[in-house]
Amino acid sequence: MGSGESRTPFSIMIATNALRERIRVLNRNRVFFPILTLSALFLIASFVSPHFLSSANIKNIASQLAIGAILAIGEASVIICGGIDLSVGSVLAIAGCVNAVLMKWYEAPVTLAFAAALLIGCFAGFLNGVIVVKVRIPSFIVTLAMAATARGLTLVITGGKPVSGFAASFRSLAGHLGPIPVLFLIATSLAILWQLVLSYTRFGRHLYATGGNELASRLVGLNVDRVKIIAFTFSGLCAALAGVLLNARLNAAYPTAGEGYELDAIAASVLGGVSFSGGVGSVLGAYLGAIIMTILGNILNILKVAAFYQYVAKGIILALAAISLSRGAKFAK
Amino acid sequence: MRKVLLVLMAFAVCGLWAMGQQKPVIGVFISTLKNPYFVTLAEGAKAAGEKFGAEVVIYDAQDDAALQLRQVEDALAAGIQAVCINPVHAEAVIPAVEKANAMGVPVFSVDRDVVGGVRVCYIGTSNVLAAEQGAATLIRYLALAKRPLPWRIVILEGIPGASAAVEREQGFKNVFDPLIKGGAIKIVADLTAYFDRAEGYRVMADILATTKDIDAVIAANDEMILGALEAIKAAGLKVGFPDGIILMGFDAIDDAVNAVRSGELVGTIAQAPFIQGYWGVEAAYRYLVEGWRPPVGTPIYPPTGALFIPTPIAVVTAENVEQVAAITRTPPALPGTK
Repeated sequence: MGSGESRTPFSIMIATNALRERIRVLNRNRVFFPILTLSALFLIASFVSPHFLSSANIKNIASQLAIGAILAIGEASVIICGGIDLSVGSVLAIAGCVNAVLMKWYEAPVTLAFAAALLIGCFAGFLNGVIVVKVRIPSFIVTLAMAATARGLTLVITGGKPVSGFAASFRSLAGHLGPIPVLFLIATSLAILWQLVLSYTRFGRHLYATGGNELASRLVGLNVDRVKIIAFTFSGLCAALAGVLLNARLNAAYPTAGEGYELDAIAASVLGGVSFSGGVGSVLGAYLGAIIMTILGNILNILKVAAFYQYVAKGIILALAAISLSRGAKFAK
Repeated sequence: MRKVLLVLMAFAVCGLWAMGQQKPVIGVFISTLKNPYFVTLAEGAKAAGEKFGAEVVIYDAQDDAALQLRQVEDALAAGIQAVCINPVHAEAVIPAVEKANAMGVPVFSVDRDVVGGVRVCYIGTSNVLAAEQGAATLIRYLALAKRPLPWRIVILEGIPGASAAVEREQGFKNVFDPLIKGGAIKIVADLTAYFDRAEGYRVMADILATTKDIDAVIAANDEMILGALEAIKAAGLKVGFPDGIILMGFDAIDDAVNAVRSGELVGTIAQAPFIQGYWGVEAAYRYLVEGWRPPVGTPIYPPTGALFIPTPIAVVTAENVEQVAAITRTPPALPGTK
């Protein structure tokens, strides 16, 4: 450092600075970290086991990542706007069980049951948002309460028992379109669609603004309340979608479904570059983060790593990811 | 970033090492290793692996059917040659079994059965018979304690939908229903505690908050009865034969056997999880290497239609508590072998 003793020609210095600036702008939503990590993981996985790149395994991964990815997309939206949603696992369960009960016990048509489940998810998310915004309780607590309530209602509705055996048309949601699993198509389309919404619409900009500096956003006149409610509603919608798709995959719905999935959704978001302080990160990053977590689990299973070590490994990776993303933060809560 | 790469390099080394093994690879998919019963089952599986020279890989599904499906899929893609599955749910795990069937990998269900897909056989306890024996023993102790009729009994059930829970509930009902009709028994509460100790504590504490007039508690597994035991002690009530609340468990895990020795439980049912795990791996190994099949005359298991290979059981009471460990950890010959 210092002013006069540089040996680089002036023009090269300008060019590298410009390049660095370009990269920084491209990476303003911190999407490079998940892209690089995912590529590295893929590379290493293909060396580690000959089974990783088999078409059976890739198809498995493509199906397996869908549920986690959909939850991560919703969760990331909420975290970006400055909140947190701990109810996604339970909303997944209640929407899934309502979907199953309608199809199995009341013989409702598949589309109606699907729509009903999504509506329940939206309603749960909407309630979360409204309570956070109007009653002014931190989202941590509101969504925790919603999680317990939804889980309880799920047990009441199903009597604690699983519901299984659905129509073939419904089960085709977990099937394949050619070589590509339908679940993968649904998750990827949702990721791309919602990323476009967040990047190119006014709502998206308002979401980032709210998360980045809520007070300033309010003072400037943004309808922060509406932005938050929409974010929570969307998260509920994603959870419900995940619940229905899980039903198709397992051909069964059970009231204990989704337990702990909210933590995986949060982990995927963090791996994808979303910051807990809000206003930073991207939905595409969270989607990639979910893929990273799925591949990690897959590698550990293929390598036959004992169950206990898998938890440790995932925890370490998550911590490492958070550490390497935290450069520049002045403090953490 | 460098650190992440280092960790991943470590995995790469593990992978290369794993590729060096050439023995038959048998996957054992356990519903949850939180329950000591399944830890013993896993021990039996590993022991069989060592005895017969097979590589046994244990997977813990943490009671999540979706995770179990993922584990089976990944293991099948990794080239596992046999699946010994202890399903989280009798129905939700069927896609996993069907995937194994599609790949021609034999499936053996252990301790709990699945209600779909093709299994070579189901190795487990006849839960109905065992539960009937447990309930009958409870009645015997109540009679010996000369309690006034009607006897007030609490039943703690297991995870709804798990075959073991459903069958034990059936066994209890088979013994209790005639007595309920005759007015000898009153069921104070019949609730589920999900085979979990903490849940057993919570549910029992809630029941005790409504009434302390209880003669006996019977649970579909030891974890629940041990949790209930703590709740009863915390409420300051007496436990044990003949003056206190009479408790009966199921599974004979170590903590329960100690409780039988100390008199806190009057009994538990010793299944043989060690033998279940052992026979599961042994059957898979012999199937792959020697062409073993379930012998002619193997009964069908009515609830699921699979060929049923029952493992030994014993009612553990203060009288025979010292011999139980020996009985349940010594695998007899697998039916169909010498």
